[in-house]
Parts: sequence; structure tokens; C-alpha cells
Amino acid sequence: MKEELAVADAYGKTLAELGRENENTVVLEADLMKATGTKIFQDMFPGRLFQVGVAEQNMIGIAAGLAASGKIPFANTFAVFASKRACDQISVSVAYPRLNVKIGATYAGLSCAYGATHQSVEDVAIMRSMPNMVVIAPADTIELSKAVREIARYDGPVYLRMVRGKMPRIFDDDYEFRIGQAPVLRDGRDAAIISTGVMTSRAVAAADILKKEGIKVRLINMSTIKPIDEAAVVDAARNTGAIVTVENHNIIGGLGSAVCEVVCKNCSIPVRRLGIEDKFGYAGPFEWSLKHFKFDVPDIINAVKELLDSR
Amino acid sequence: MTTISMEEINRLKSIARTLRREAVKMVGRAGTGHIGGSLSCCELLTALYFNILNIDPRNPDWEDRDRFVLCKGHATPMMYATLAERGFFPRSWLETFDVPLSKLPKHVDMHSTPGIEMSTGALGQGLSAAIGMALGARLNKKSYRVFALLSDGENESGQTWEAAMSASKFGLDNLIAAVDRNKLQVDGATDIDEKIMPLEPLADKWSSFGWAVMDIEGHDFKEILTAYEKAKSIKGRPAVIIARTIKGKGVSFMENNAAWHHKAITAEETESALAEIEQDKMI
Repeated sequence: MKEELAVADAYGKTLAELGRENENTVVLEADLMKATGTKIFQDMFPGRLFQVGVAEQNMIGIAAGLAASGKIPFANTFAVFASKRACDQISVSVAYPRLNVKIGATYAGLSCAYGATHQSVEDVAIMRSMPNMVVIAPADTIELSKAVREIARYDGPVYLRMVRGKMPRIFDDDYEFRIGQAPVLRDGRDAAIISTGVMTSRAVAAADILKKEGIKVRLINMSTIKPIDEAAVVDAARNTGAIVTVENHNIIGGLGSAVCEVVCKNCSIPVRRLGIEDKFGYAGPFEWSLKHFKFDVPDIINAVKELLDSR
Repeated sequence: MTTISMEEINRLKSIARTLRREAVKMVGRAGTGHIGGSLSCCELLTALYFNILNIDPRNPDWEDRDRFVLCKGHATPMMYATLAERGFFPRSWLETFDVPLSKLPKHVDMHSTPGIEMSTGALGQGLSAAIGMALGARLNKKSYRVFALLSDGENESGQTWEAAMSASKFGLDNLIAAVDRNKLQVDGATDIDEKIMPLEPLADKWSSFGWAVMDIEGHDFKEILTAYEKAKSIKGRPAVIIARTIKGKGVSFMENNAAWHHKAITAEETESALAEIEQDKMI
């Protein structure tokens, strides 16, 4: 298996490709270019990267004005700063007027090891509840690159949730990403796991271990958290009768909540939400946080088994 | 610099009187509205829309048009009166001001109203969008300018100064801002008595952020036109016009009274205000 690109490198590389293909592609940074990965874009198109310093609110507003001028701005920062410091600006200057701004929000969830000030446990809940906003969390760098290309084609606001570091490869190069379409990565009828973003690789590992133990789960990669693929959720609910959701986010308001909203509207079945249980994070490696907050591979396996036992 | 004729000044004064009247009528019909800050920016909007801006009301999406961002997005009575008078939409629309689902909502919405370039209303956000438009003009190799009108209260917002810093960094000489310096906001006076948040020396603040600053009497057309002409000639940095104005200008019982920032208005008050504007006593 070839060496995976870091998420930031894949993001920057794809933006640079887009920059070459479409001169309307512009990038905005708030003093985190080295983390977001867009230095390559700046090197190639210095006139189309706007560095505003530590001023995320202004960055989003400028992006809105650029979008109103026909540009396709990708405004990048950490998920905490995008979703909270610039929350009002994204709502009023981007989502409400449906301006074509893409928000590249990285170091999401507990993937940032710096502790609670830099760990976004609320961003999906905030962005998901914003009218007109699309929320996407790719599961590997293939899906990320495809998603970046797809959202550049889509005319409207998008919140793209990324993580620090690398993600294990899940998809082939010929994978096709579509907004709002959730690929089924494993099929089975005993239970379903619905995961998003960096947690999908853990969900794959859990599903494969469960299979060896004779439990066949359907695994859905819900990369588009909003608009959620309702048909995929309903089908999984009807055909498996038990769903475990897994996300690198507070279990309040994120993927698990979104899945429950679909389930309780269509067919009532038990759903177990795995993620951060309404706590702020701690400084520490992501692997440590997964274990500490109990949403790692063994926790996913246990959740599936407990759900099956309780039926 | 071109001289400004008395005919032009008188033409603009006449238009301003019409706009004041229409704005008061809109608020009278709606029962409430942001009339104080509408009356204070009457001459600024009149000068922009009837002399300065390069626009075509029949083609509001013309790609080479000057852009105007009403950062003080609640000054809609005057904004809509201006756009209607300039021909962006029929005057009859003004009767729908603040009616639910009308094309003329209480805060400007770029998708509802022809001629509105940016949806605003949350103070402090408009200047950033104007900067984006000015950068867009540069990238698109267009010579249009971007104009922004801020309230003075917005100068208390952090984002305004983030924006001020960045416009200066980007050297946006195609961006001209104005501040409607009426010294009153919802809770009282910015600098005197209540001291909501003292802003002076405001011109020095903008100057220290790298902007060319002009400090003018904001109800005097000669000063307004001269300032905008000068602002257009500035190279390499953005310009801001601090326009000293009177909140409620033109209606004596509204003038310099923060209560008229946004207030219910009776039929009698409406009539009285209209009569005063007709007499043109105050202007």
C-alpha cells in the first residue's frame, strides 16, 4: 500500500489543481496556511490567496464578497474558529444569502491534540442547523479530493470538515463522490453502523471483526451529514433493525442526532450514538482521545453487540 | 476637480426632500421603522445614487456597475426610497415595506430587492463583504468601485477593524467607505452623556489603520460630492468619509433623539413630520 497523503496535503493539492483548471478559484487564510495545506496554492497563484491574519470573521465576510463577484472562495481555518468565532458571519453573510463560499474546516473534533480550545465538538451541530448549509466530512483523502472537486461545482455554501494528520485509505481512485449519497461499504442484515469522516476507517475495522465473529453489519459512510441520505438510513433501519452511529463529535447535534431524526420520522428502531458524550476534549493524541472517550473500534463492536443482545 | 454647480446642488436637495418624505411615509404605513438613521444618511444616499455611482437601474446586474453595500442594513426606509426614486423598482413597492414576505424587508436582502448588492443587518459585517467585492473587481480586471456605508455604532465592532486593517493591507483604492456619524445608537449617545462607547478620535483611528480620511458635514452636498471626488483620486489605499450627520435630520422632533433609532410612529407624528419636510424648514 502506498504512503497516504496527509489530509492537509491532499486538500492543498486538490485546490491547486482546481486553481489551475478554473481561475475563479480563490483561497482565504487566517494565519493557519501551514495547517490547512494551501501553501502550494499560494506558491502557484499568489494573487489568488488572501491572507487576513487572525481574523476569521473578516475572512468569511471577504469570502462572501468574493463569491458575490463570481469567485469560488475556499476559506480555511480550524473547525473551532470557523464554526464558533465566525458563526454569525457564516450564518448572515454566507448561508442566509446562499453565497458560494466553501469553508475548509480542519483539525475537527479531537483530531487536534491541543485540547479544548482547539477541539471542535460542536461544529457539526452548529453548521447542520444553519439553513442552506451543506456539511461534508470525508473518510479518506480520495473521498476528500473528490468532495473538494464536487463542492467546487456545486453553487452554494458548504462546510467541509477535515481532520489533522492522515486517514487510512478506504476508497479506490475511481470512487465517485456525490453530495447527499452515502456509499455502503459493507453489507449485512444483523445491524447497521453509520459513520462519518475519520471514524469510518474505525467502523470498517469493527465491521470486519464482527463479521469474523458471525455478525454481519451494513456499514454506511455518511460523508454528507447534511443533506443526509435519508433513503440509506431508512433502508438500513428497515433491513437491519438496529443502528450504531460513530462520529468524532459531541453525540448531541451531530451525525447520531441526524440519523435519529430520520429514524424516528420513518421507522422506530433502537439507535446507539457513539462519539463524545457532551464533554470538552483534553490535550492528547487522537488515538488516546478515542480510547478515553470510548468511541474506538472495541467500543463500536461492543455497541453493536449490546444492541443485538437487547433486542 | 470639476466644480459643482448650484443647479446640481438644488437638484439633489429636491431629490433628498422626496426621499425623506417617502421614508417617513413608509415608516408611517408600517407603524415602525429605523427612521432616525435613515434620515441621517439621506444626503449621502442621494449623492451616491443620483450623482456618484455608475449604475443602470434597468440592468441591476450589469457586470461593470459600481457596487454599494449598505452595511447599516437597517436603514431600509431611506435605502428603498432611494432605489425606487432611481428606478430600480416601482414606487408602489414602497407601500409593501416591512409587510411579511414583501420584496422590501426590514433589513436588506440581496435576493429580495433589485439593486441590493449584499444582505446585511447584523452590524459590522458589511465592510468585509465590500472588501471581497473590491478584491473581486481587481481579479476580474474591472474598473468599478465598491462603496460602503457604515453606521457609527458599527465602529464599535471588532470585525470593522479587522476589515479596516485588511483593506489597507490589500491597498484597495477601489473601495470608498463612509461612516454615518450621527453619534447616536439604540441605547443612547456614542460619546456624550451615556458614553455607550466613545469613538473619538474616529478620523485618527481610520487614519492609523492606513485609510485616507475625509471629515465632512454629512448633510452638505457640496462637501459630500467634493469628498467622494477626492476619494476617487486616492491611489494605493482605501478611503473613508466620516460624514458628520444628525440622527433624524429634517424632522425637528426626531433630531438628535436616540429614541427615534427605531420607534413606533403615530399617524399624527407622521403628518407632522411630512409637513415639516414639505416646508423644508430644516434643510
